[in-house]
Amino acid sequence: MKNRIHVLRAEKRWTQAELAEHLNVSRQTINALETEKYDPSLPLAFSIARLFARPMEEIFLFEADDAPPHHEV
Amino acid sequence: MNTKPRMTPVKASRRYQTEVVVAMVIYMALMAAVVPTLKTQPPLPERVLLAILPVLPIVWVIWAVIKYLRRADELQRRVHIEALAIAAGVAAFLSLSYGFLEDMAGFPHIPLWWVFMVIDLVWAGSACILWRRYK
Repeated sequence: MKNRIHVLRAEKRWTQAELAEHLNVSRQTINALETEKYDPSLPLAFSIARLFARPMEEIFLFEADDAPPHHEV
Repeated sequence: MNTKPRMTPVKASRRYQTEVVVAMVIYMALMAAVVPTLKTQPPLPERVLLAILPVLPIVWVIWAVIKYLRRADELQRRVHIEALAIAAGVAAFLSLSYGFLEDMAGFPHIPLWWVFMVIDLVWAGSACILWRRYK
């Protein structure tokens, strides 16, 4: 799933570590989110939306390919 | 949703690493203390006690792993649980097949503690490989 976390973080001038601290996750997880290798859980997605004070749809761009979630080996 | 204030994943990792290192130091110290005594062939009840003693810190390691998995963030938890599932599968498969080879094909006996080594090594190896998926 595409997202704008990297752009929103840059606007706030936060490092990945700082954003990680705000969201109570590890820096590796922020990196995986920004590189779109990992889709967050619903609670984490809400926390991200709340932190940046944006509706979820402005942060996460859901496309036809994204459903159903799949993770290949 | 969990409303309790949580230990941060960074702190949880550090706590886990500290606990494992301390437990392993105790384990090695106990091994060093127990092995020479065992070589003197003490009576059976004593031997049982001495053989069991070094694994007590491993109970602490297992507890530390469980605590870490609960405190880790969702991606760390996903990676480690998947890696542990792979490790459990590989260890189950290897111990089952080698058990059959021992029983039916006369292969030499391998001590059971190797199962522990296989789980740990495959867990660590799988976790490294799985992390690459998210980098």
